[in-house]
Amino acid sequence: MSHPETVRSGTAGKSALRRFADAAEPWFYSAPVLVLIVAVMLVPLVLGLSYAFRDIQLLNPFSGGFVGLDHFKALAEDEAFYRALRNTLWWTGASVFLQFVFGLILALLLDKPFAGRGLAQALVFLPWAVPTFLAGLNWAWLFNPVIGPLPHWMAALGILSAPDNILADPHLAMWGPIIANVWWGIPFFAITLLAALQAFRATSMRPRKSTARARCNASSRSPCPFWRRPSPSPSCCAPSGSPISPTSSSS
Amino acid sequence: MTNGGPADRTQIVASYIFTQAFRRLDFGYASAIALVLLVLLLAYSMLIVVIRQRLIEKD
Repeated sequence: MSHPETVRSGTAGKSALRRFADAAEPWFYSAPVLVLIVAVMLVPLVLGLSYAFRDIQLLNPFSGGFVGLDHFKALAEDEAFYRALRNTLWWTGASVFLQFVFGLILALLLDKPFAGRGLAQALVFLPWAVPTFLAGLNWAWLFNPVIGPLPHWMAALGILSAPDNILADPHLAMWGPIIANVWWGIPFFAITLLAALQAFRATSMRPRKSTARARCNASSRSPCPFWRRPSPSPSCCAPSGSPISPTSSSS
Repeated sequence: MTNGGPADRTQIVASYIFTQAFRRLDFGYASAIALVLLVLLLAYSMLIVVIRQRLIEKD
């Protein structure tokens, strides 16, 4: 669609309406998206936040009035909330710690070249592609004492005294979700750490300041343990042969 | 997996919010918990950002 008025108004003085139309033009173009975002995201967000200060119970038609900070006062004395908070910390801490440890082990194993390494890397990354819902369902089945193999294996190994359902045992139940989450989260740590290790190796041939890291890096004959390698610098990604590439400047 | 598990032993904050909202249908209380969780996570994230910034400046 052509706008001959726009061309004309460029030379003559613009009317107030014209200036308004020019300023509003980008807003009109983005209006469909803005209306959608406001309608399906911002309005529900503000409504949801307002619920925190209102007495909203779906099955009680007389609820809906403002109660101020009553919910937060009740929350401060809610024992179940503090238990949930402790469980969250324990679950998150144990999951991330174990994911990191096993991910680091896998990354160090995959760091060295061996036959079938590409296939192994692809397989290691596979659990990450499983939807969390399916992973949880699968592990619930695996832990099931009737149809799942894990309780029987653990009983045979002597970890459990009998093939009971650990998900029904108050003292062991948290280990079920932790194990499932660890299985699901290891690939992310493994691939991230593997990428970091390989970035380290790309920079490790470059001479650096005389530090412990630089000394063990200077000779490629005795490579650094991974925790001593220098952090990757932008020059690690330069194509080899360019003046700042790590290989051309090494001694 | 466990729906909060035996006697709330596997209840985390997120699942507690879900329980309050969609099982007890108390949306007001659930929203209040969610707001508290948001504030806690914001505080934790800001702490991490500040610590990281300090470490980077020191390096």
